Amino acid sequence: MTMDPRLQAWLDGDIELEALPETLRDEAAAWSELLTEARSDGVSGAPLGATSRVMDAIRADASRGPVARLRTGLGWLLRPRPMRVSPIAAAAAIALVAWSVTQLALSQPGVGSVDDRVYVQFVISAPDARTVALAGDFNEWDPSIQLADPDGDGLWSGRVALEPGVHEYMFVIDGSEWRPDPNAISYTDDGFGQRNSVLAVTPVNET
Amino acid sequence: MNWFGWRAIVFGAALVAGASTPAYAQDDRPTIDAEQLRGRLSPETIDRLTRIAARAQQNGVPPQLIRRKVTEGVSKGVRGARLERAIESYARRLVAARNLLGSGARAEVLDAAAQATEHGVPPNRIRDFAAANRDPRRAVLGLRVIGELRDAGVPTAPAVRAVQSALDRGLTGERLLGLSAAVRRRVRQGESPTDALRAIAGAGRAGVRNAPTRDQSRAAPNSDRPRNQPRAQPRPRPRSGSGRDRG
Repeated sequence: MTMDPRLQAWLDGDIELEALPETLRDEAAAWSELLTEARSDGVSGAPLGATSRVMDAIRADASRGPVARLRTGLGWLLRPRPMRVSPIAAAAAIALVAWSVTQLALSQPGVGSVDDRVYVQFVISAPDARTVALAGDFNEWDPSIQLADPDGDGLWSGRVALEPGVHEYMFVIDGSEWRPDPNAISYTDDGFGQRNSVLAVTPVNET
Repeated sequence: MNWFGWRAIVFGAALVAGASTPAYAQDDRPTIDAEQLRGRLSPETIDRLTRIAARAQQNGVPPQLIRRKVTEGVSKGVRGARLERAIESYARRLVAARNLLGSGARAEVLDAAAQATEHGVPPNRIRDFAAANRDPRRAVLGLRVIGELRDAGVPTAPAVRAVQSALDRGLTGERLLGLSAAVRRRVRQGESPTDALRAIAGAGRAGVRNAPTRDQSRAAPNSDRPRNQPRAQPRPRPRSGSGRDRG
């Protein structure tokens, strides 16, 4: 018959009596009584031959190969064990995990930003254009967002959902002519000899 | 806590920390998408761009920045040596920004710092400003405006002070972005850049939240003049056709 590991842990002094379930406490009390009796009978020290057995085990452990050691290491990771943590250390650990998860969420582009998107109206006057598209850092500079001029008055417009922040963009006229927005609030050198229009999108709750 | 407990916590923390490394470290797309560029650029150009991008990435530059700039250039029809020179120069500025701001700086902040460098903002000013503005959105907007003010002829110190003060007063978005345009307008009317900035900043401190920026000079509501500005909508609406909004 094997001893309940929780009882063994209590006998080893790893856990308190209160940590044992009620069903084990009677057994624990019996063990306690037995040990008290043994001590009062003058039994003390290690059993006969215990020292040599322990030393043999240590020597055997030292001579084991790397595979056996690896197995022991993995066993440490996989074997369930009782763990005692002070409340402050547990709080610190939880705070660390929460902070890390938050950092992870913030570092993911686009994560948590879908609901923050703001609709921006783009308008450009291009009376002679056959098509007008919009390209910017928000769509990898792919002129795929087509603006519309439904009443044919030369004012092309389109509404695009953008994440808050600073964005650069240009209009593409007839698929080939890249043109900055004449009404942009700001411009910046694009490094290729042209100027990108610059737009700052403010979150709705800050407007 | 016992020894085992500490080991378990350190092990768990290491796992979580490993998972929360910056996003660019998890960006497993190639720095330059050679397949996508094939047919649009020569193999030699692709090869040189790949090397520039790899070198920048080794120096801690998030790959998406270089990739996006290459895509921008290619979309605009820039080819060959001109494209390579532009990307090389951009990558160099990004590496300098990374060295300046450290590995914790986000991609968009690095980009803004690289632009500020190009406008002649001294590195120590960029570093101090980024350190004082941990919110990336503030840092990006602020660095851009400081760079543009420098470009408009405003010395660095008053430019940084004005931008920081505006941010602290809650000036954001296009109002702040329009600061340099407002300075340029006054300069065109004969004021010195520093005086122009002082006048605009003074108006802001006096409670005029709308500094006289280009935003204000735009068309009055309901006029037919085109304008592009952020507009919050309660729910998405069709993008084209009925989406026109001139007021």
